[in-house]
Amino acid sequence: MFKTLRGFLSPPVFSESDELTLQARHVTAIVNVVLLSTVLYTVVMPLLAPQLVPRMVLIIPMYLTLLGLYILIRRRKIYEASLGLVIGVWAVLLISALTSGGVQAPAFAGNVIVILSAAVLLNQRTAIIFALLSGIEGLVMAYGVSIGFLAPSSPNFNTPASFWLAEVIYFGVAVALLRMATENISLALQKAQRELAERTRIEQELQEQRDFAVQVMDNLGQGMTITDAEGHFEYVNPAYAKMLGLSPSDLIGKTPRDFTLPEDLEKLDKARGQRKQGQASTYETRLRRATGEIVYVLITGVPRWLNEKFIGAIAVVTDLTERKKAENEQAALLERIQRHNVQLQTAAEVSRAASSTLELDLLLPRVVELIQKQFNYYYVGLFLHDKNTHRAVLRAATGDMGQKMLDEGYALDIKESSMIAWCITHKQPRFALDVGADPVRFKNPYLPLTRSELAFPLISRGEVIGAMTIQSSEPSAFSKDDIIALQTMVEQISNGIQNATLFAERVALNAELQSRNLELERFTYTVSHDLRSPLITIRGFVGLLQQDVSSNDMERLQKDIRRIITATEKMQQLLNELLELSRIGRVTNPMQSLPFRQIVDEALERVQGRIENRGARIKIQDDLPAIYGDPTRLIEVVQNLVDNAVKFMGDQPDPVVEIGTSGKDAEDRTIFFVRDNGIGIDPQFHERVFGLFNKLNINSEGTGVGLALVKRIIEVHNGKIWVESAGTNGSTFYFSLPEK
Amino acid sequence: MIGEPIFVMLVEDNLDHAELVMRTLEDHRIANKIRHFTDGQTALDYLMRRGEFSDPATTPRPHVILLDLRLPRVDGLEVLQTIKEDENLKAIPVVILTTSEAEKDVARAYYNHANSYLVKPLGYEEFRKLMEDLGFYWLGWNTHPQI
Repeated sequence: MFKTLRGFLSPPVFSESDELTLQARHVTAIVNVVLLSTVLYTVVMPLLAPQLVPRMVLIIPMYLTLLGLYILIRRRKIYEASLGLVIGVWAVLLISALTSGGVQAPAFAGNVIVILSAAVLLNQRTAIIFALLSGIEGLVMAYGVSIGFLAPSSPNFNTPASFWLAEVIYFGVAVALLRMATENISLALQKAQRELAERTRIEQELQEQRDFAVQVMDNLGQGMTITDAEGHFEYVNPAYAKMLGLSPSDLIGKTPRDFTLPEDLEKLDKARGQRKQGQASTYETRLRRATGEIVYVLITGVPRWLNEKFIGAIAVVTDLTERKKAENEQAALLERIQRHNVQLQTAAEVSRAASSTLELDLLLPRVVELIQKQFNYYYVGLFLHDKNTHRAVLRAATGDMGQKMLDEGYALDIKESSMIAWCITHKQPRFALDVGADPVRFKNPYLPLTRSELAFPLISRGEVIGAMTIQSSEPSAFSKDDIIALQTMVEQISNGIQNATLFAERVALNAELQSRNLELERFTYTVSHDLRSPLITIRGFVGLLQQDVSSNDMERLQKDIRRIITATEKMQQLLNELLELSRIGRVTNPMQSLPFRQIVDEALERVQGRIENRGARIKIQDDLPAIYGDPTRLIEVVQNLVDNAVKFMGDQPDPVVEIGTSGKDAEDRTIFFVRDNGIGIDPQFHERVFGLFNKLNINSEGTGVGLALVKRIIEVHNGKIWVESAGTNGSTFYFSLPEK
Repeated sequence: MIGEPIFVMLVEDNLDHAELVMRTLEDHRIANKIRHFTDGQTALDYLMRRGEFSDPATTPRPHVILLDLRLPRVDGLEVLQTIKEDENLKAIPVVILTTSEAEKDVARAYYNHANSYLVKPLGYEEFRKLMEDLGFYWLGWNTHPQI
């Protein structure tokens, strides 16, 4: 019971708020004091002023008010309880004052307690309101008394005792309230001190966190930057500064623009635009170091926001330079492998062509084409060395320019300075990786775009047979691997050329052998025929001689003997000439260069007799060129032709033999002619005149070997001979001879 | 056949050989008449009755032709070919009389319808004998077509 009462009278505790707990204690204490005062009043009042007992009825609402307050406190409605207490006490005191003399009543003085309570329990403003209220209340009540509306103070009920009692209560309450006010101040002070400590602690923690973050960023391997809204660096870590070859302090206040390659600025602007929109992004870009090198980086940036305002960005920067370098190296390696593949493939194809093609005219164009196409070179050309003329003659070349050069019969003198000539004379390859710098190389007007050139000699059985040139429109276009691969191909080509040359030689040899066989067959045939003829004559007439003797026909005998002698002489001559013919080409005199005029003069001297007998005139062209050949044989040629010309003059009254030149043939050989105005040769015999023993006229002198001999000599000199004649009005014998 | 004059045409460029042939044939009194031509062209002109030989009265058909192969102007084989392709002449027997023993010549002669192929022997006696046999065979025993 007592415990219940105590629990009812004690204040509740608010664990969440010290202020509430204190207020609850204060309001409870005041209510308890008021209850005690009221109880005291209820007990003491009748004793001190019995005339006031009827007014005791007013105590009842007081008790009810107090009960309501206790209930509110229990329900933890501390504010409401405080307000109710102040208003309740004020209302009781007001009624009390109204009924006991207005301002002169002791109850009116109780308003001080109300004001102080309001200040302690509620706030200063409430206290001022109640102070004003009390002032107005007093004024109203004083006026009410003056007009007689209120009863003035009467000694009947405002006794000194009641005054004392009321004032004692007031003093006690005042002391309690003062203490409460002190408690309130003390509590506020404590709270302020606690808050200050808390704030100091939080600030310290924040500082520690910031220090930690900076420490982490400073030691991070990746670059980090913090920029402000305008893009200026607020912070950069050492890793980022190192990428640029600078120290962090150099960078503060600068912007990433200052270090980005101009080509990549667009990317930077785009990223900044995204940050302002609140977007993060990652992109690759290139920066330039203070020393000039390029740094490849990967940047991941995020925006910074404060109170919904863009204040800059944070970026993580990864250096990709090493990775890029590795990637580039890998790409270079891959390219090298692919190139190597091309080299091997080309080498295989060249090798196949070189070993399977036996015709030079097919092989050479094919290999130059192959090498040019596979390696995508500007030009590839192949020269063969002509030892007689000391020239390197272009035999195969690529492209339109190559065709043009081939059409023109392009050749280089190996005594002059050129890469090809150098190769052939030194038996060594020559490389001009920058053609302008090579003193030996001369600029070929057909190939203006050449920037680098390789020239390889073609060597077969230790002898240089030619050279190959490979040209590129790029400087230093040939790697070591290329040169090795090409060297191998060149060796294959040399072998191929050797094989093809041997094969061609064999074919030519076969053909020559065949024609020689045929010639021999014809020779034995004609020889047997023409040698038989005089033999038949000789033996036949020797037989007839007996007849002549027995018939004693001396005249006939003489005639027959003459026939025998003539036939014998003829046979002798035939044998001599055959021997001569067989010597041509077999027994050779040294070839030499000399004026053709000298040969003509010598030949004319030998046929002087016949010319004079016939009364023929000889006309010789003035400026006869020099020729290269066997002088003895060439004299025989002219001698035979002039002899024939004079021999077949017929009844020409003014026989003329002309000797001269008639331009050049397709192979650049001078064409000479011997022309007469004699009987001429029917076109159907033009071929046959050069055959052995093909005499056209039975009555003419000679064995029929002469023109065959002439033809053979010209052929041994790589020339040609033919005759032109309409069959009347003379004939012209043409023959071509090389000048050198 | 007796009483009919026998006419031989000899085409031979070697004058000595022609003399030999004519003298040996005369010795045997086989031919009544031998006419000698030194080249193929003249021989053909006679047979074709061209130019100076255009009068048929003076250019009788020979009973037999003795033809050398190697002749100036027109070759013996060509003469043979022309004769054997001519309707009027192809019936005349043509005897090749040559120094050539070459198989090629023999084959070509027969291919062009030569009636006989004789090689001139080297010895005088053999030559004589050949002419004698030739005379007896072609001019004696052989029956000639009427041309």
